Amino acid sequence: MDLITAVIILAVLGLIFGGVLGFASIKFKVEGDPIVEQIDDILPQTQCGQCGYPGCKPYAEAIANGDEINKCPPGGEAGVKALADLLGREVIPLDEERGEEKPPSVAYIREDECIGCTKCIQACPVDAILGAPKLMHTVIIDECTGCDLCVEPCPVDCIDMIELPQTISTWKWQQPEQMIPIKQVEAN
Amino acid sequence: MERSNFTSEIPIFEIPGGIHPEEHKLQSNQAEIRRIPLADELVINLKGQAGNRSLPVVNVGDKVLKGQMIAECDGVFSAYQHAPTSGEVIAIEERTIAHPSGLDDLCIVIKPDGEDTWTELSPVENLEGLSGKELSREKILAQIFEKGIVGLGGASFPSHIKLKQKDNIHTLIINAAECEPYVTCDDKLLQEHAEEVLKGAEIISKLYHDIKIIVGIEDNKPKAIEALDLARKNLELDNIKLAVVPTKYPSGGEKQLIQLLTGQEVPHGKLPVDLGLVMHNVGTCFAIYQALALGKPLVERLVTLTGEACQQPGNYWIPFGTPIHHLVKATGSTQPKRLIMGGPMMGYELPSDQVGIVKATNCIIMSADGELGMDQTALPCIRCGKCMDACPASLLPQQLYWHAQADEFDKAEEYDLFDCIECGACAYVCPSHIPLVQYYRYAKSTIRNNRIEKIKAEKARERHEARQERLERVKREKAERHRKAAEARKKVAAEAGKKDAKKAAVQAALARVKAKKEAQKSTDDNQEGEL
Repeated sequence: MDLITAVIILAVLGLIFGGVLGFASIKFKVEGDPIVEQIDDILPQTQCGQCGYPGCKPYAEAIANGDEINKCPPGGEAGVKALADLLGREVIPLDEERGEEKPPSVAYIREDECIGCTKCIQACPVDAILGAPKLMHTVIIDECTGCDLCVEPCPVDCIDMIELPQTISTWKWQQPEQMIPIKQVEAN
Repeated sequence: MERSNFTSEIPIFEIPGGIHPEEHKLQSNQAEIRRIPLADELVINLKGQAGNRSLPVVNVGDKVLKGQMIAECDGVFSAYQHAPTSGEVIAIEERTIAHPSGLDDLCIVIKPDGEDTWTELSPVENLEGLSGKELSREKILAQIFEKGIVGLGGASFPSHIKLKQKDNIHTLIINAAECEPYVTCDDKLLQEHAEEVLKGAEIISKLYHDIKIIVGIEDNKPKAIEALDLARKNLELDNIKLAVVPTKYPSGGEKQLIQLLTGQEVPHGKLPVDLGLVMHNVGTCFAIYQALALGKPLVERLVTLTGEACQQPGNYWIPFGTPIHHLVKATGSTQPKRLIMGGPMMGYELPSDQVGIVKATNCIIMSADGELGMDQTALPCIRCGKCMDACPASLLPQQLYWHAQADEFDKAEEYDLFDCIECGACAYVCPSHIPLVQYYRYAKSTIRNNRIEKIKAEKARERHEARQERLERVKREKAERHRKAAEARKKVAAEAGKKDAKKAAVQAALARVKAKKEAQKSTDDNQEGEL
């Protein structure tokens, strides 16, 4: 008798919890992989492809699937550190093969040399180049991420990457130099 | 230093922390306010206020009169700029500006003609005879806006914005605390122009319905307190209360003075207006009086020139844009070791003596060697907790320091980094001489920059996704078009095929007929031949 009661109780409990879980899985269904979103949030969104993937989101997916976190030069050391923090991985130096951390820059088209071939427009991942066939093109600097991708396709080589000058509004205070003196103690 | 024994007319509350640095005020508050000869050129920095850079409206070569508008506001959060003297605009170019970065920014350079001729001024007629109702709020605010008035206490926040909110304001606090060591310009202004300052406060009070006026002042300014009391009697402004607070740095901070006078703390992320309070510095009140009663735009301010290297310390009316090297020369001073703009606690070292003074410049310290004790080597933090006792905002400075040093900005924010007013009390008491404020400034500016970058990244992501979507759509549409075209072709071909079949049938029929005829004909011929 006891045995049957126990079995029935367990079966009922199983049904109840199963129902709750089933309900929760429908009600609180998570669309997409949240870790990918979180990784993508850390990536700088330059869409430059230096990581070997066609944009930041694909790289985020690759990291979530186990790829290295040091393939993003625009994100720099700080980016690697943030990713390591998020994923509980080791902080590793940037992969030099992928390029190096550069100061923020934007593309600039020497407009009188532009022949209006639209190749750079097609290369720009964020639609920051304005122009039409056989008409001059120009870069909207506020939208340019400095990804470099328009430079190579240009047949007349009229695109330069220009470093953004520091202004009063982009300037920031530096961390004071750590001035903790090191004293050499000689062993007796 | 001498203390006033004037009894405060309202109860005074306490603030946490605070320090008592050496005051050094006697150096500069003895002599009367003076003027110095005009400089050879005035360099007016267009980013000399909080908010957007002003936009120049003059061209190189233009002759301008004193008080003539030379740059207009870029949006509401900005300020008009006026020519500080008459002369010629000789350049509009990037020059080093008064900023801790030492970077260049757009400046208008004026060569004075020495005449100092005022442009036509437009005061509000019969100002004192008008009551609050007759003198409309818009009129006062417009005049304050057009005369380029910004807060002269140090932050240069455009005054018309601060005065905009009308409802639920019950108290106007006039800040005369001037708690920074060395600085005496507010003290001196009150000693010599207390009536104008109070008239300015009276004008501000006309913007509101039924408002209390409190003047908050430290007890180390007995002469200024006397002058205020006298001016109040002369003007019969009995509604103004004098609140004398004990001398302690930083009681002149906006939030600190509010706490001293009302006992209320301005909550995190809120402004004094949320508590029904509005605060203005005495210099701003004076400027507002001048703007409305005399129609004078803000073209000069009272600046304390002091420090051990300064030979004639005192307070001077100095037109904006006057280069610092001119001030050093005009006061016959020796070459200073350091030039500090602002007080020794919150000011910053100037990158060059070529920069012009701006609306925020209340003091220039020409320091001699070793005067300010800025060259001490920082030692490790020993966690003594003195900084915590000194902090007027009840923060934990050493925690903020550890996190700022380790670039753990989110943790620093958790410890309310942005409630830090950068007063420097913690660094002053630090036995290890750690430049704590610089760590907080570093953390704050990095966090701000990161936020801007985050917004930019977000925009880039959106644009990239929009582009991907568009390319995808174009591809889909193309495929769709191709499919339709192919179908259409097939249909045409099929139809063409059908037609061909018919034609072929007809042809075949014709051919058959022809063949038959031919056959018949040949048999006929044969028959004929046979015949």
